[in-house]
Amino acid sequence: MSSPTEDAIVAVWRNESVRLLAGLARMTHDLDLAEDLAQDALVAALEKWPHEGIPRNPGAWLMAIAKRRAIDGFRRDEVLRRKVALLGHELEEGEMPDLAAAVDHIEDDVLRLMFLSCHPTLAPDSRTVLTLRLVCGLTTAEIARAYFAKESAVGQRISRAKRTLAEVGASFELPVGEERAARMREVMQTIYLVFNEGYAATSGPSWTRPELCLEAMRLARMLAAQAPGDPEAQALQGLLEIQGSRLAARADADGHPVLLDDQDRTRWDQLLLRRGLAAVERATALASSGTPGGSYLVQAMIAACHGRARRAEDTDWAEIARLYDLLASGAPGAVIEVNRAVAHGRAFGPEAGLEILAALPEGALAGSHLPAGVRGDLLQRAGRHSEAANAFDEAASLTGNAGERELLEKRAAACRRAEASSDA
Amino acid sequence: MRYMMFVKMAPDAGPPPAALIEAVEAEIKQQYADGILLDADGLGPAVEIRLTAGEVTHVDGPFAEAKEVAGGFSLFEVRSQDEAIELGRRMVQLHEELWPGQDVAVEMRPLFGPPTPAE
Repeated sequence: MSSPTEDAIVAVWRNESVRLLAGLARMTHDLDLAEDLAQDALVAALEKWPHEGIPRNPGAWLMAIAKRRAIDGFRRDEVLRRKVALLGHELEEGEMPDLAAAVDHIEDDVLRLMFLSCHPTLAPDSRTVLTLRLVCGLTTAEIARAYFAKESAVGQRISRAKRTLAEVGASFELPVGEERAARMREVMQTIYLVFNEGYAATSGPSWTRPELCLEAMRLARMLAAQAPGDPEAQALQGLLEIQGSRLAARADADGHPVLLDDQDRTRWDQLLLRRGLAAVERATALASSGTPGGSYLVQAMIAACHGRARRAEDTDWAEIARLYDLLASGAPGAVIEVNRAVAHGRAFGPEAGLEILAALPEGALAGSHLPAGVRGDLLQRAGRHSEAANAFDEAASLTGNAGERELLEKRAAACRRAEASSDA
Repeated sequence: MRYMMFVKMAPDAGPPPAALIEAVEAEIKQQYADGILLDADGLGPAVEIRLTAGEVTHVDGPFAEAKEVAGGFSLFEVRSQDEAIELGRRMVQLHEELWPGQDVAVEMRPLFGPPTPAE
C-alpha cells in the first residue's frame, strides 16, 4: 500500500477519535487528560504510519499508544500517584481485545460520554456544545461556525463545562435504574436542542442550519443503537428523521421559510421519512410490549401523521389533536398548549384553537413570538383579519430570526390587504 | 453529504472467506452504532436494456465479459469526502488482510440529493 498522506491519517483518527476518547475517559476519569492522550495518539500516528502504513486495526493501535502514554504520565506525575493506585490495574491489563469482542464495550463507552456531556449540573447550552465536541468529535471552530458564535466563546464554554464536571466529581460510570432513565431524558433533550437550533435557528441570518440537524440525527441514531429496547430513544430518532426529511422543503430558493402546509412534499427526503416512520413503528411496538413510551413517542407519532399525508389537506388533524391532548396530559406546558391550539383549530375550527390560547395563564411564554403567531393564524382562518394583522405584528417584533420575522410581516400585510378589500 | 459505496470484484470471485464476512459484519455494526449507515442491501444479477446504434436489446446478467460487479451497496451520511474515503479504505484493507490474492475495488459515489436549502 502506498504511504498514507497526512489528510488520510487525520481521517482515520477522526473516525476513531470519539471511541478513543470515550475509552480513555473511562480509564482516566479525566476529560482533559483523555483529550490530550487522544491527540498524542494522533501525533504518534502521523510519525509512524507514513513509513509503516495504516495498521489493520487503527483503533486498537491508537488506544495502545494512548494507554502507554497514560501509564508513563502517571508514573512521572507524583500528584497523580493516588490515581495510579486506583486505576493502575485497569491501565496495565494485557493486550487490547479484538475489535469484534470490543464493540459492546465501546458502545458503552460512548454512552458514558453522552451521559457526561449532558450532565444535569451543566446548563443546556453547555451540554449542547460539549456533546458536539466530545460525542460528535467536532472541533471548536466547527461548532462556532455552526452556531454563528465566536470560536473563543465556544472554547471558553467547553473548558468551563469540563471544569464544572471535574469540580462536582461527575461520575464516569453508567447510571442505573431510575437515575439512568432520568439521565437518558437529559441526553435526549440535549440532542433535541441541537436539532431544534438547526431546524429553526433562534438567531442569525439563516432560517435553518442543516449541519446541526445532521449532527443531531447522527447522535439520535447513536443513542437508538445503544438503547435498542428504549421506545423513547427509537422515537427520538424517528422524530428527528421525519422532521429532518422536510429540511429542503422548509426554505424557498431565497432562503425564506416555507410553512408545513405550503411545502412541496415531493421535496421531502423519502429515505429519511421512511427511516423515521420505521423508527416510530419500532418505538410503538416496544411501548405496547411493556416499556412505556413518553413524550418523544407522542411527538414522533404527531410527526408521522404529517409525514404520511401526501397532501396537506390529507392531514389527519383529529388524530393530531388527540395526540396533543395526550401530550398535554402527560407533560403540561405552555408550548404544548400553543401547539394543541393549532391542532384543535385545524381539526375543529379556529374558534376551538382560540379558546385553548385564551386559557393560557397570563404571562405564559412572555417574550416568545409563538403564541402571537399562532393566534394570528387562527384569527386569519376565522376571517378576523384586522385582529390577525395585529397578532402577526406582535409576533414579528418578538422573533430573533430574520427569515421568520419577514414571513410574519408578510402575513400581517396580507391580512391588512384582506381587511381593506373586505371594507371596500 | 451522502455517499453510496459499492464493493466490486470479478464475477467469478466465489464466496468470501468466513473471517472476512465476520469482519465486514463487525464493520457494518460499527457504522450503524456510529449513526452513519442509512441503508444497505445486496444486489442480484443485472438485466440490461441497451440502446446501441438505434437498436434496443435486453440482456440478462451476469455478464461473462464484465471485469467486476458490485454485490451490494451501503448508503452513508458523512460530514466530508475524507470521511467517505476512509470508510472505503477500511473496506479495502479488510479484503487485503482477510482474502489474500483477491482483487477488489471499492467505489464511493457522492449523491446529489435534494437541493440544499439556501442558507
